[in-house]
Order: sequence, then C-alpha cells, then structure tokens
Amino acid sequence: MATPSLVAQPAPTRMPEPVIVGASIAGGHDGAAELIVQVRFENGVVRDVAMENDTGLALMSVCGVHSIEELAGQPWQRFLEAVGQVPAKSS
Amino acid sequence: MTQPEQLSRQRRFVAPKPGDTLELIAERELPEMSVADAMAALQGWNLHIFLMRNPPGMLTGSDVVFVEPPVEGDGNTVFGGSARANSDA
Amino acid sequence: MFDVIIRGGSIVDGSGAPSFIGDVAIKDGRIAEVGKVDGAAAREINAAGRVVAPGFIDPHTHFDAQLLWDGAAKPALEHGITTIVPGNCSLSLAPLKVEHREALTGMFRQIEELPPEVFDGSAFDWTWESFDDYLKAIREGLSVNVAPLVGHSVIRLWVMGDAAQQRAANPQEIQGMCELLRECLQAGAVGLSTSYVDVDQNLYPVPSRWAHFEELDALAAVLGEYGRVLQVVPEFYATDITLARVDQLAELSLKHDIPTTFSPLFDNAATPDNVPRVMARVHEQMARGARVWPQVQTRPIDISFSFELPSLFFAANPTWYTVMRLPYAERTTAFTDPDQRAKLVAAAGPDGGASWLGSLILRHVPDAASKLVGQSVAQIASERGVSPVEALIDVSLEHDFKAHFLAESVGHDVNSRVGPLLADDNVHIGASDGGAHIASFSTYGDTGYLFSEFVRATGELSLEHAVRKITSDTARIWGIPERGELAPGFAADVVIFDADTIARGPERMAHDLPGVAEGGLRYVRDSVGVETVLVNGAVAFESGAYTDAHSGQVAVA
Repeated sequence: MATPSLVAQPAPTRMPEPVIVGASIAGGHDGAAELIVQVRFENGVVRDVAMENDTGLALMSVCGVHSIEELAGQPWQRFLEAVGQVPAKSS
Repeated sequence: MTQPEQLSRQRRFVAPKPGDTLELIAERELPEMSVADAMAALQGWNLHIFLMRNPPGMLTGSDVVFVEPPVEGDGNTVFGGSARANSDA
Repeated sequence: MFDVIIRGGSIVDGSGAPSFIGDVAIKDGRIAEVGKVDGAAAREINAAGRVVAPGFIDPHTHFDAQLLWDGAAKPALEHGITTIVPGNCSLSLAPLKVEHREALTGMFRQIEELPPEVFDGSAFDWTWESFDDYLKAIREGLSVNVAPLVGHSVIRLWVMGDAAQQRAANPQEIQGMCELLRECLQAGAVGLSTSYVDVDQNLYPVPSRWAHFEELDALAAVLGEYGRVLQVVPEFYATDITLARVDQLAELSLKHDIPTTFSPLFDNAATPDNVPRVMARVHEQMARGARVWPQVQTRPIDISFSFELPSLFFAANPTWYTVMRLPYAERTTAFTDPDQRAKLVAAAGPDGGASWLGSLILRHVPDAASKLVGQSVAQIASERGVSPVEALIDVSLEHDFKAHFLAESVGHDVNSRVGPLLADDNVHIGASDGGAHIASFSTYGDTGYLFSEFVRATGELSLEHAVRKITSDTARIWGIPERGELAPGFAADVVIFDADTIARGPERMAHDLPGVAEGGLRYVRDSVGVETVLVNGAVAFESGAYTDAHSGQVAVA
C-alpha cells in the first residue's frame, strides 16, 4: 500500500474526523463514469461525495487500493491528496 | 400557505463575499476554533471545492460553503425511497 | 375558409383534460376552432386513430449554434418538439463582442462538443454582437419556435472581459450587467441562465461561477421587472449542495417574484437519497409560494469507455482495475500474454463475463463501416463462438484499444422511481440537453421515451398527463404565451402521433455538421410514431420528412 503524505494535519480538538465508509460507481451527466464515495462525518451522519473519473482513479491510487470496496476506512485527507495527483487540466 | 419559519432545518452554509477566502470564512464563521482547526473543518465539510474544481481549492464567488457538518434528519420526507442518515454510525 | 383542418383525431389538448374525438381548425397560424368543425380548409389532414396534441416544448437545449444552419434543430422537430429553449447553462451566443468570440466558442466546444471548424466562419457568418441581432440572424430560417435564454457567463464576459473569470464584479459592472440583461429581455430573451458546474475548454470555471450572490440577486431583480425565468445548473450528485441551491433559488423567487428552475435532477442507485431529499425541500419551498422547478429527464444515463484510457467502469473488479491502470504497453501485454489474459477472463466471472459485460454495446470503432458497431458484446461473442469477456478483449485489441463501448441505463434507470418523480406536480420534465454532448451520446427522443416507458410500459402517467407535462405545464412555468394548448387563439403548434408506437429510435451516428470534414460526428435518434408536426400552422414535418416551411418564431417577444 502506498504511504501518502498528508496535506492537511488532523485537528486534535475534533475527533473523530470524516472517514470513507463506502463507494460506488455512477453514470455522469456527460456519459463518463463517476465515483460516489460515502463519507461518515464526525457527528455520524453519512453523505455522498462525488468526483469525476480521473479524480476517482487518483483517490484509489493514493489509497493504494485496487477495488472501490477497499476504500472503506480511509480518512478524508485522502481526497486532498488525490486532487494533487490529478494531471494538470489545461490545454 | 406555509410560513417561512416552518421550513425544516437544513445544513448551514454561507455564500462567499467579495474578497473572501476559505481562511477568512473560517475565522468569521468558526470563531470558537483555532484558525488551523477551523480550516481543517471547512476542508472536510467542503470537499466539493477541491474535488470538482480546477485548480483544487480555488474558491469562486458562487460557491456554497458549509459551516457545519451534515445534519441529521434534514429533508427526510419520503419520496420514492428512504433517506439514509447515520446508517452505519 | 380555414387554412388547415385536422379531422377526427383523438384530441389531447394539453390541459390534462380527458381526450375526445374531434377536429382542430387552423387559420393564420392560430388555432381557430377545436371540436366538431364545419366548413372547409385549403388542406385537410385525416388524423383518425391518431393523437392530436399541442407541440412539445423542450426547456433545456443548446441549439444556439445549430440554429444558424438548421432552423429545425434536427432531429428535435421530428420528435414533435415545436418550441425549444436554447441558451441554457449560462451560455448563449449573444450578446457577444467580436473580441470575445474565441473565449465563448471555447466554452461551447467544451460543453456541446462541437468541433472548432463550426465556429470559424464556414458554417455560418458572424453577423451580430447584440442579442437582438443574433435573433435576426436565426429568425428567417426557423422551422421551430425559439424561446431563448441569455447566458450569465456571456453577459459577464461582455461587461468584464477577461476579469469575468477572475474576480467579483464591482457595483458599476453589476449595473452594466443589469442594463445589458434588460436589453436582452426586451429583445426577446425568456430569461437568464447561470451555471455552478460548467467549465471552459481549459476546464476552468465559466464566468457565471465567479459571480457572488449579490450579483445574481441584482440580475434576478431585473428578471422580476419582466417576470422572466432564472435557470441554473447545480452540482451533480451533491445533495446537500443542491438543497442549498434550492434555498437560494427560493429566496430569489420570493424576493423578485420570478420562476426559477434547476436542471438536471437525477435519480441513481449510487445516491438513493438524492431525489427524496431534494424533492422534500422543493415541496417545502413550493408550499411557501416559491417557484423552484427541478427539471428531470426521462431517459436513463449511459456510461461509455474504451480500453485506451482508464475508466472507473472497472473499479469494482481488482484484477481488471489493476491492468487498466498499467501504462499502455504493459496493458497491451496483459491482454495478449496467455497467462495474464487467462486471469482477466477468469476475473470476469464464471459465466464468461456474460452478466457483467454481455450487455455492453460496441458504439464506435475507428473503422466507421464496421458491421460490429451497434452489436452487444454478447452478440459478437455468440457470432465468434467465444465468451463475452474474450470478445470484449479481442475487439479492443483489433482496434488498438480505440473501440468504444457503452454501458446502457446505468443511472436514472429505475422506472419505479423515475416514473413517480416525472408525475410529481412539482417536477418539470426537461433537461434533455438537446444539441449538447453531441459526440458522446444522443440527447434526442426524450419525449418519445416518456410515452413508450412511462405511459405505455408502466402506466405511471396517463396520456393526457404526459402531454400536459411537456406542453401547457412547460409554457406556464416559462411564461411562454399562447402556446402549449389546443385552444382557440393559441399558436397552431400541433403534433399528430400514434399513441401505440411513439418512442425514440435507436441511437445512430450522423455526419451532418457543416464546414467539418466528412460531416463530423454526432449521435442522434430518429423519431418513431410521430407522423405530422405543424409549427404556427404550417406543416414542418410529415411522413418521415421535413418540409421547406420556416414558420418558427421567437416565442417570447
């Protein structure tokens, strides 16, 4: 598994922090696949977080997983690491 | 006609003011927290500003910025399915 | 003497009232009589056994450029659509200064997937800067009616130039935008569109996304002077954000007494709470008197992919995902090396990938003449005597990974959930996106799909209800006067169709873009069951062919 470097430090005064509890694939508005990640926030409420194909693949990469099922348990900071991995998007 | 105060509770958010940054919003909206904690909280609550954005984290004027985590029980009126709050907390 | 009498049809007048057998008489482009009509006409149309309904109105399209060379917005008109709303998602082609053409067309190319050659002067002449002059440029050729939105991004670009994608507007700039919007509304704009998600050709947020709420509030105040519409594109699959947008729109609607609409709202197995939560909030706000109309499309969502670039389509299968993430050369090796290939085949499941991959459609290969295009992977596998997963691999290798596959109906596809949503009185059927995403999928035929799936197959909506939802309801929501019903005095926009067969045809490739080598590529769908379409009293489509009629109008001015 890759060892990602944190881009945001955990806040010691607020525990627990948002964590991934599940993920699934959805069809995007533009016909591409998107990743929908379920995140449990610090107060226990679960919400969906959507991302496009490249960011979803980057998230899996920084988490070192090979299936979306393995994303469960990953901390929210992985999202910030993932967007740093997505190739620059300018033409 | 239903009165405005009868609206159900929704997750609290702000619209950025001209000149705003996430740091300024953190200081203004979460004064009880240190700036570092407030920034970390805002980041976690506003992943959309990072995930569907080029460059990630760039605040635009039309953004919705949540200033609290998701709230339970908002808009739970059933319509063709059930709401899913706190399902595996 | 009438111009046209449509005789003996089952009249579904758009009001939602029960159908009845009768005649429709037309004079000078207007409905003259409905019921038992005596007298004669220059032309009579026998509609026995057919439904006679008001022309359908499509409230979410991007035909702004196409209207400059195709006033019928093909193939929209042949599906029974007689009025379209272009200019959605903050983008219209006017008002536009000459120096901003390149910037704006970059946004159009990104969103609509129109090739750049379309905008270089070979497909049409740039004859306008003002909104009024754009309408003059399209007016003569119109076969369909147009109720155009003006785009917030365009207005911002006009007033602020490059700064439109850099910063907040100052008070003078906001005032300038308000004055410009007023001019557009006076010229015939049905409202203002804005977007919270769209990007330009560099994937950078479009100008409207840089506007603070105070700017939108000022523009909404101008809309309030005319009672015109505000359309927005909210963030997809982000329910909490959509709820915030609903509240923002409700605030503007109540404050300025304007209708607002957001599009699209999708149902999806991956986000099962999205529609229930959003609709709960919409119902609350509508009960307060706010007008916040969610637009819901009838068609399901598809996913397309190839082996050329990594796709999340494979992200639930570790073996396949791992191979798809390899560099190109190693990926090729993985599919050709016997041992690795055997692992991939095994990982597709004990049924040879039939359940996972069999229903995929081969939609495009570099050799456009390939007979395989349009077939399912299961069909190809059967013809070749191999398993579906082997067929998928072989076809991809044969085309150097440039074969594109389509996973159909992977979202917004559960009729038992989408049907009640479409039938809801607080839901606005629309969001077709006609004229956009042209090289990715077809955005046509949603009205036919409404009838085939949700009237005939599931019975979720009655015929009368379905017609009302896409005619008079739409006209009322958008403030489009004297359209959407078969009633005396109304514009004679009429569609005659077979209720037993109306549907959308299969998706097919078309090569009809002007000024583009070999006609370019766009995906379209032909209509099924639509026999005759009249626009302002003139027959614009009949017996499977378009006529020379150019009777379309700007439907607001």
